[in-house]
This record gives sequence, structure tokens and C-alpha cells, in this order.
Amino acid sequence: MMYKGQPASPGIIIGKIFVISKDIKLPQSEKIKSSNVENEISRLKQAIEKTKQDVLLIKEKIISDIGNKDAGIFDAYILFLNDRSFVDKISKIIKDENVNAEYALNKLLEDYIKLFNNISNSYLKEKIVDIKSLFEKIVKNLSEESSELFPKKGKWVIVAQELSPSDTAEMDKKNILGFITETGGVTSHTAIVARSLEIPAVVGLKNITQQVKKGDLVIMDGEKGIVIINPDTNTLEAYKKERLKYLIKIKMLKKLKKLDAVTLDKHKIILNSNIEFPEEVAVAKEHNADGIGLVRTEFIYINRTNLPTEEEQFLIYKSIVEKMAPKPVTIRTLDIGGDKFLPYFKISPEQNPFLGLRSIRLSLSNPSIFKTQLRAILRASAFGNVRIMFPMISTVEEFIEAKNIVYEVMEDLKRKKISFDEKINIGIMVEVPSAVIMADELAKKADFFSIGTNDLIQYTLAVDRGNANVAAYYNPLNPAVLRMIKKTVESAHKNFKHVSVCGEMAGEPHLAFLLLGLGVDELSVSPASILQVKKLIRNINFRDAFEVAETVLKFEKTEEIKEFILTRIKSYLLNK
Amino acid sequence: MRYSKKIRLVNQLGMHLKAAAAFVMTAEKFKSDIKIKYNNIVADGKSIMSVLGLGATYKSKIEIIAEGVDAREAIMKLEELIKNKFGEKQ
Repeated sequence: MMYKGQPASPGIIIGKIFVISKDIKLPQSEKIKSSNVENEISRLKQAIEKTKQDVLLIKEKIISDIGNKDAGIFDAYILFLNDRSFVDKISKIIKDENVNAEYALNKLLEDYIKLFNNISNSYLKEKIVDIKSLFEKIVKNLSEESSELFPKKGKWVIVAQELSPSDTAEMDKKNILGFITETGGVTSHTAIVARSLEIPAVVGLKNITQQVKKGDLVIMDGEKGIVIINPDTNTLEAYKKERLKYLIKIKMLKKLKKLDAVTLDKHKIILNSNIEFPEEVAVAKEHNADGIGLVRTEFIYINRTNLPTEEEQFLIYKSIVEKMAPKPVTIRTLDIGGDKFLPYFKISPEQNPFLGLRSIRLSLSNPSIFKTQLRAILRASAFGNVRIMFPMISTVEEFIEAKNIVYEVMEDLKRKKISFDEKINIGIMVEVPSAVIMADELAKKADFFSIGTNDLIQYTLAVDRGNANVAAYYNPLNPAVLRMIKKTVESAHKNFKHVSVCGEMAGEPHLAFLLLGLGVDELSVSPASILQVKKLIRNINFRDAFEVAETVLKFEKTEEIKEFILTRIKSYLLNK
Repeated sequence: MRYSKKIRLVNQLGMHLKAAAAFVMTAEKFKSDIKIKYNNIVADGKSIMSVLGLGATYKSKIEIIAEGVDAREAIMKLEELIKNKFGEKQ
């Protein structure tokens, strides 16, 4: 049986399935003999005792892992488990209805679910998950299989509805071959953990936990999102070959890990990694990135109900910076608006959000949010090599204004004798056409440029790439876009400044080739693309890339450019 | 001694599990009997099950009733806890 889900982490694996089921199975009202009532109640009490110990253990682990902050919920669990009326109430249901403990627990849980569902206030409604999760723990402890929640020995492909951070923390990684989950997308916790462990993952496979059982043979291809349960011999043989091919490819790529990104004619390219989640730092380091070219700080702000404090941000930045030191880490200030919003920070509705109050504009109009972030970044700069980057700068005065706020925060830190890097580099994202046109002036004031190709293409060509009606207009090889990039590079180099490219364009080998030819000094790509781009760089001559770029800059049609590059790059790579 | 006070819940989540726990832990420090009245239901302020069962939401008004030697102090402390949003940020 073949299933198709969302590819979340690449790799091909053949192995046996281990199902993690966290479902409370709605137990049928299993009647028990009245003589068994006492037995059932003592079974309940044991499960409650066992759950108490489990909760205390998790609480200790969490406190030692991340500090005291999130442990409060466990105190609540303990209080609940210790509540006399809890045991009394469940025991009463067991006695009165002659039912087993599972059923009785479920009945009480249903009461809470009903109560919370009747509440119109959605905040409280959502908090039913806390109570559910406690009841799940108790029911689990009622069954004898509770010790087998996670695999202890052997190697398994984990199948689950979804995996929480506490699940993955509890699992022993050496027993895991891959992850398959029902929920989640490419940015879900499961996907991120899988990528950082470099094991395949397929997510978003609805109902998969119902379709499989422990021990089923599974083939999974994390790059294509394919999962095949109990394959026939032919399929199995075919995939064994595929897996071998994949392993050889990985082995070749891994050889590149420790090598520099240098072209055949000895032109060194700085190859950085973008970071969307702190977990990705490990992969970037593992693949020997020259630095972090872009920290997307939005991850700190989303998935919560209030603004992150300075301290919270500082600890996250510091941890990234320390791990990468002495290599540079470029931290981009908050880049929301457009299509990314914070549920707890509303801006008034706009006709054209992409031309509206977004990105640096939002920071400048909310100085307290902006300053909090800058203080956290500056404090982290004392622990390594940090650069500050402002997104979506569109005028010179806007950059000056943002920089002045940095200086203001610096003065304040100095007064309070808090250390930071006083010579910190401050640069801008070039992603608005006006910034390209004013690049000569901006380059005098900025320490570096980083071209955000996604937005630059969208604003240059006036095309929303999410809009299917006009998606065809969105093309990185449009001659106008290439001339924009060329102009940005020239302005920067005239002023002895570096230009980096951190959009998706940098991660596509043929486009990266062109970018290098256009004179871009640094590429910043997703951690998973580093080795592929490095492979390309090590197989080309910078001189060739330069010539190709010179030639295509004279073309006036996108198609011509595309064709020319593809043929040329093929011949270079074939000859090597 | 018997004291009572009507207070509005100002934390956005309302009386969820963690908030109920904070309430009960504070209530347990006192000898007095503590009850919460909401929507004509009376809950035992020292039982988390009971407090949680009220389903009291953000901005709703609850009445705390304390009866015993330290009733007055109990009300003061519990009022402070609720006004401080049970130590939550919002």
C-alpha cells in the first residue's frame, strides 16, 4: 500500500514500524462484576500513584533542561492527582455503574470537555488539552504496555499522530530510523527534529496510525514524501537499489563537509546558512557553513500569545552566537507584515499588506518592540561575532533612523555597563527597487548588503508569486532582476562592501552559478542545501561564471537567458 | 469570621488548569474554609477538580467566600493572586 504525504526531511529508509498511539481509546463501558469493584479501584489508585511519579520525573527533567519557567503545569497535575475528590469521583463511577477504571476516567474527562466546549471564550476552550493530556497519562498507566511507549531497543520507523517536543526529548535517538506523522507541515516540530538528526520524515499522512501496526515493513522516501507499507518483492528490490544510490550520493556530499567552497580557479566563495529555527544551527555547523547569513527572528515571535521579553530573546541569540563563534551570525530584525502576522499584535487591515506597514517600517513605528530586540541582539554580540541586518530598507533616511535607534540603545547599555560589540556591523537587506537605485548612497552608510531575492523579484516585476494568475511573471532570470542584482553588487564593491544573497535563488545550483558570475561575494542557503551548492562551487571556474553573467546581461528575454545558462552549466559539469 | 468578595478574572485564559492550581495552592495555606461562587455553582476552593469545574472565563466575576479564623487574610491573598493574573503575563 502506497501513501503520499508531505516530504519533511530527505532520506530513503527501509525498516519496521513502531506505532506511538496516544489516543485514549474510548473504552466501551466494560461491565465488571461487583466483586471486582475493589480490585478496579486499587488498579486506579496504582495508576494514579505511578502517574504522580512520572510527572515528578518529567518535571525534574524539564527544570534541569530549560529552567523553572515551564514546570508550573506539573504542579497542577500533582495537585489534581492528589485531590481526594478526584479519586472519590472516579471510584463512585466504578461502583455505581460497575464499569472499569478506563471507562470511568473517560466519563469524567468527557464532562470537562463538555464544560469547556460550552464556553464561548476560546482561550479557556483551548486549555482543555492540559486536562486531556493528564488523563491520557493515567489511562496509559492503567494498561500494562505502558513501558512500551517509545522503543527501547532495535531500530524503528516511528509512526504517530504527532510528536511533541517532550516526546522527542524522551525518545532514544539511536532507536529511530525515521518519522511518519499524521499532522504537521514542513515547519512542524517533527520535521525540524528529523532534519537536525538527518533522518527521513514524511508528515501530513492522515489516519496513517490506523492503517499500520507494529512490525509492518515500511519503505519511506523523505524527499518525495512516499511511504509504502508492506511492499511486494519487486518494489522492495527497486527501493534497495534506490537506497544504495542515495547513500552513495550522501557519502559523496559528506566528503565535502570539511572542504571549503572554492571554485576550480581558486576563487573562495563564502557559503553561509540561513536559520529559521535554533535547532538548525547544529546542521549548519555540521556542514561547515562559513557563518549564519540570516537568522529569521520571526520564530521567536510566532506560536505564542505575547511579545517575547528581552531576556528570552537574548538567551536564544546568545546560544546561536556562542555555538557559531568565531564565525559571523547575521541577525535580521523582525520581518512581519505582508503575509506573516502575530496573533497578539494586530495592525489595522490594509488594502495592500505587501506595500503596507511591514518589516522595518513596523519596527520603526513600534520603537519599544524594536528596541527590546536590538538590546537583546547587542547583548548577545558580546559572546561572538554578530551583525545586525534591517529588512526592507527603501530609503536612505529610513536606514539612518534605524541605525540611530541602535546607537541610542548602545548608549543606554554603556550607561548601565552592559557589554556588547561596539564595532558591530550593521547592514541592510536590498529587496526594494528604490534601495537598488540608491545603492551607491546606501553602500556608503551600510557595512554590508544582503539581497533578498524573493521580495526583490516581486517588487521589481510587480508580481505576487502566490497569485496563480500571474505566477508565470515571477522569474528570477528576468533580465530586469539580473540588472538589479548587478547594480547592487557594483555599488557595494565601489565602496568595498560585501554583497550576500539570502533568498531562495541562492539555493538553486544554476541560479547560484549566475549569482557568483554577477559578483556576489556570499551565498546564504538553507542548511539542507549547503552541500549541494558547495558541490557546484567546487566544480566550476569563477571565470566561466563571470563570462556567462556578462553574456546574459546583454540578453533581453527571460527564455534566452534560461536556455543559455542551462546549456552552459551542463557542459561545465559534464566536462568535470 | 466570614468574609466574601466579588472579583473579576483578568487573565486571558480564565480559570484553566494552571490558574486553578495556583488558586488552590494559595487557598491551602489557610485554615479557613474557602469557596468560590460562579453562575450559582459553589466550588470547594481547596479542590482543583472543583475549581476547574466552574469553567470561569476571562472577565467573568467570581465570588470568593472564606469562613474561619484567617478568613480575612485568605481573601486578601486570593484577591492579590487573581489581580496579578495568577502570575501569568496576560
